[in-house]
Order: sequence, then C-alpha cells, then structure tokens
Amino acid sequence: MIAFVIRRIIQAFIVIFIISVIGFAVKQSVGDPVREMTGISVSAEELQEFREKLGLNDPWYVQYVRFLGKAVQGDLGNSFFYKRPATDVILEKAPATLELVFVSSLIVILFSVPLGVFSAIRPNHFLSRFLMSGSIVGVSIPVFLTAIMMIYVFSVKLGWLPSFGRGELVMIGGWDSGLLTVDGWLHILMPSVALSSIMLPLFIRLIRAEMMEVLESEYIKFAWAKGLSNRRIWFVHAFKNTLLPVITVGGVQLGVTIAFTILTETVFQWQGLGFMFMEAVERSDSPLLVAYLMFVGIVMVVVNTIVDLIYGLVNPTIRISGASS
Amino acid sequence: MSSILNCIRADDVMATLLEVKDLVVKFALRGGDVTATNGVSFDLARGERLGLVGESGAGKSVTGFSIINLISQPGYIASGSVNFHGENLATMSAARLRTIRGNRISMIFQDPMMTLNPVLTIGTQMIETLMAHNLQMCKERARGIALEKLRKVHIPSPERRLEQYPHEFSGGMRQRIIIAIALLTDPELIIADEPTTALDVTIQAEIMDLLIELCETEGMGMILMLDTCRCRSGNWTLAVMYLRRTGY
Ligand SMILES: Nc1ncnc2c1ncn2[C@@H]1O[C@H](COP(=O)(O)OP(=O)(O)OP(=O)(O)O)[C@@H](O)[C@H]1O
Ligand SMILES: [Mg+2]
Repeated sequence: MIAFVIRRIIQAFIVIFIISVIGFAVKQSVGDPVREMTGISVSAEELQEFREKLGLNDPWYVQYVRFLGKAVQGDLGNSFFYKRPATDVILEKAPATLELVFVSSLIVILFSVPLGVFSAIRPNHFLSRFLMSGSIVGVSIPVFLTAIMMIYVFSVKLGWLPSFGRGELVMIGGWDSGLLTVDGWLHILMPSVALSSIMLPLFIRLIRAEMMEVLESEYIKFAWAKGLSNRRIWFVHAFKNTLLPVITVGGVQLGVTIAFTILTETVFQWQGLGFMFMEAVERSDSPLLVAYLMFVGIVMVVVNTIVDLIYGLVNPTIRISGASS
Repeated sequence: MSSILNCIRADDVMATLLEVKDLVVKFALRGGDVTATNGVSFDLARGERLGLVGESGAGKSVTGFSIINLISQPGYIASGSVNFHGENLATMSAARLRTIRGNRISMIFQDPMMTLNPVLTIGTQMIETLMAHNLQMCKERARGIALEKLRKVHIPSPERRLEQYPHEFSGGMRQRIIIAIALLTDPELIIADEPTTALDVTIQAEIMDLLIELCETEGMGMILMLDTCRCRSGNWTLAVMYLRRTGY
C-alpha cells in the first residue's frame, strides 16, 4: 500500500509538471506583457531595454525555470484587471466554486447510489423504467437550459428561490462559506442541482449497469447458495464490487463538472472561478487565465490522487502487489 | 433437446433425503424456450453418495442449481419437483429456501477462481455464512468454527489466512476453502459440480480425494457431477446423464 501511495504521488507531480509547461506555453503565446504594462507611447529602444530587464529575451527554458520558481512560491503574475496577484484573486474566488462542486457532488452521490442500486435489483419496477428513460432525457438537456428553466420556474414564477449570487456568507479563516447559513443554502440549491443535472443521470446509469453485471457473477450466485440475506448480498457483496469502476469514473467526471461550473456560474452569476474565467477571457486577462488553468489542473490532480487512494482501499488486490489486477 | 437419466440404484433401504422427480428446466430465450433438462429423476437416501456423470452440456450444472432452486435468469423450473425431507424446494418460499441453502444443502461450484468474492476476506465470507443461519452465533464462535474447517481441508496457518483475500490463494487452495465453506454448517447434502475440472491436473486427484474423504467421515449425502466416470472406491450410486440418444 505504501509503495502504491508513493507511486501515485510521484505520478501526481509529473502531471503537475506537465500542467506547468502548458501554463507557461499559454503565458508565452497569449499577449505581450510589455505592451500591456507600458502602453503604446514608448519607443522601440525603451521597449527592448524593458524586455531585457524583464528577462523576456532569455532562452525559453531559462524563462520557464523562472516561471516555475515563481509559481512554486505562488506567484503567477499580476492580474491586468484586478491589479493584484492572480493567485490572490484565484484564492478569493475558489471557495465559491469548490462549494458549488462539493454540493453538487453530494447530490450526485446521495441520489445516484440508492437509485442506481434500486434500478439494478428491481429492473422491472416501474420506478426503474422511469429512471432509465428519465435519465436519458436528463443527460441530453444542456446545463444552461436546465439552469434557465429552473430560474424561470422557481424564481420568476414561484418566487421560492433566489436566482443569482451566493447570499449570506460567513468568513472562516479566509474561506467565504455559504454553507453555514440558511440563505446560503437557498442560493446554492439551484446552481448545484443544475450542475449535477448531467452527472446524476450518468451515474445512476453507470451504477445500475455495473451492479447488474456484478449481480450476474459467479461469486454472487455462490453468495445466494450460501443462504445469505438479500440485504447482505446487495449491499455488501455486490455493492462493494460495483464501487470500483464507479470510483474511477467519478474521479474523471469531476473534471467535467469543473468545466460545467463555467456555464452554471455564468447563468447564476455565481461569483466563483467559472464566472471569473469568463470575465478574464473577455478582458484578455492572460495572467489570470494561466492562474486559473494551473489551479484547476492542480485541484484535478489532487482529487484524482485521493480517488485512486480510495480505490486502493476498496480493492484488496492493490494493497499487496501495488498494481491493479 | 431431451436428456434422459438412467439411474442404477445401489441400495434403496434408507430414509429418503432428496427425491428429484421429472425435473424439467427451461431457459426462456428470445427465440422461444430451450429445454436444458427434460425429466431428471433420482432419489438420494441419507448419507448416500451419487455420482452424476454426463458430457458437457448434458445439464449437470443446471440439475445441481435447480435442486437449490438457484437457476440463473432466464432459466426456470418448468415442471417436476425436488423434495427435500418431503418438502418441495421448487415451490418453497424464498425465506424458507434461504434457511436450507448453505445450511442443510451446500454447493461447490465448478470454477474456484470465480466463486469467492474478490473484495471480501476469506474470514468474512466464512463467518457470514454461519451468522446467516444461526442468530445466536457470535463472531468469535463463528471464527472458531471457520478455523476448524480450514484445518480439516489442510490450509496451513488458518489464523493468518482468514484475514487474506481470494487473490492471495492458488486455485487449489481456493477450492479447499470453498469446500471448507460448504462444510461450515455440517450440511446433510453437498452438491459438488465438477469441483476439479477447472484445476491443474496435478491437484485434481488430491482435491477429489479430500472431498470424498470428508463426506465419508462426516456422513454427509453427496451429489458429485463428473464429466467422466472416475469413482473408484466406496459406496457410490451412479447416474448417467446424456443428450439426444440413449446410450451406455
Ligand atoms: N444461461 C443459459 N441460457 C440458455 N441455455 C442454457 C443456459 N445455461 C445452460 N443452458 C442450457 O442447459 C444445458 C445444460 O447446461 P449445463 O451447464 O447444465 O451443462 P453441464 O452438464 O454442466 O456441462 P459442463 O460439463 O460443460 O459444465 C446446455 O446445453 C444449455 O443448452
Ligand atoms: Mg457444468
């Protein structure tokens, strides 16, 4: 297990290194920092001198090492628009997005597991049939359409839920949390449901398909032959085996969820990273875009490493050999 | 497809344990029903050992599973009865059936590599069987019984082995463990469906000898499915299953 953990962490660092190369490449190719800083009323010599001073005439690998050295210290340059370090802006906006992703993952887990398991063990029940056809509809409706329809119904028509913003926030240790107030929860409800509207049906179907396959296996048949109770066979024998592929897919899908936050946050004017990203694109705020890319990349790597470690805990074949079977 | 069963009885004096009568098992496939067994009949007395011999596809596994009413979808028992102590397992309620499966009738499957759950320890898979059939059974006592049965099937250092997962065992060892699981509740009948065909030739005889020896010493009834007739010693009844034509 320890060898496995170490290997996963080394892999994580390799991926982070690759992300930093991509971030550097984007930084090099998007916009001229000197132009941005000095404006147009500067002579060519002065410009050249300035470039020399900033080290922009150095070979790319020297510049990369400088970029990496600064990035390790959390310095990714200043945002053109905010006139502040891009890292600070990212960290300020991150809690909103992380809470949104957290709540919608929670929704996905809390609903997909029981519904997926149910439709696997009762495939002919009308609820299972409804879930199967309903989930196809769910997957095929775009997130922004779901979001707009929800705003129309619950905010405009019924007036039950606020249509934008995060509501009342509580600051704890530099983290703006909306999860500690009722108002915050009312605000996060629609965005998180909208965000989970693609993943939830997908996971119900995935869990159902995996579980049905497991239920066909010889070891489940043997468990029946041992006279175990239905509950034990479904929730201990079958579910634990169902979990393995679901965990793997879950880690990958989290990345897709982060991509969808851009849409969701824009529709609900949710002041998080996705909203910031759209603004940064409009303002050509390249340091902020690079910082966003790096941040999301690192979050993805960390989450996927944790997911792999959980996988290792559930799958006993990993524990001993350090390789998956 | 029709399979006929010839039953050559050794002796029929003892009390009947199991009585299979005109068992017809069908599989509901898209193109219509397929008959897997067509009128299987045999009796088994207490402690009697029956060898069920037949070629591949003759319906040995289907017969074995239908005794404990555990035929996989889309299979079903179309007609016939399986009387165990006079009670018909084919029509019994699921709850009542559960008290018999794994408790009074154990089954050993064909492929030991596929039979054990890969994510649960051997200990868990043994202890749960005991606890499912005896509400008074505590974990400690179940563990003790599990250790005793593992010793019976010659698993070295069973205390340590109990904490291990199936992938840490060879095929032969897994089949020993499955035999130990089958013995846990001291059943009246063991159904062993070609328990050695999936194993190395070198350990086939060893496992078969162990199984037969344990059945004899414990006085259990047994139905042993085989692809070829290999029973040598002991008091065996032999039944032959074959397809299409009568032969032998
Ligand atoms: N899932 C299934 N779907 C359709 N038909 C099946 C299915 N399982 C078994 N059968 C039918 O039942 C017949 C008997 O199969 P069974 O598995 O009992 O054979 P067997 O005697 O155990 O053979 P083997 O020695 O290969 O294990 C087969 O010929 C097949 O036609
Ligand atoms: Mg078979």
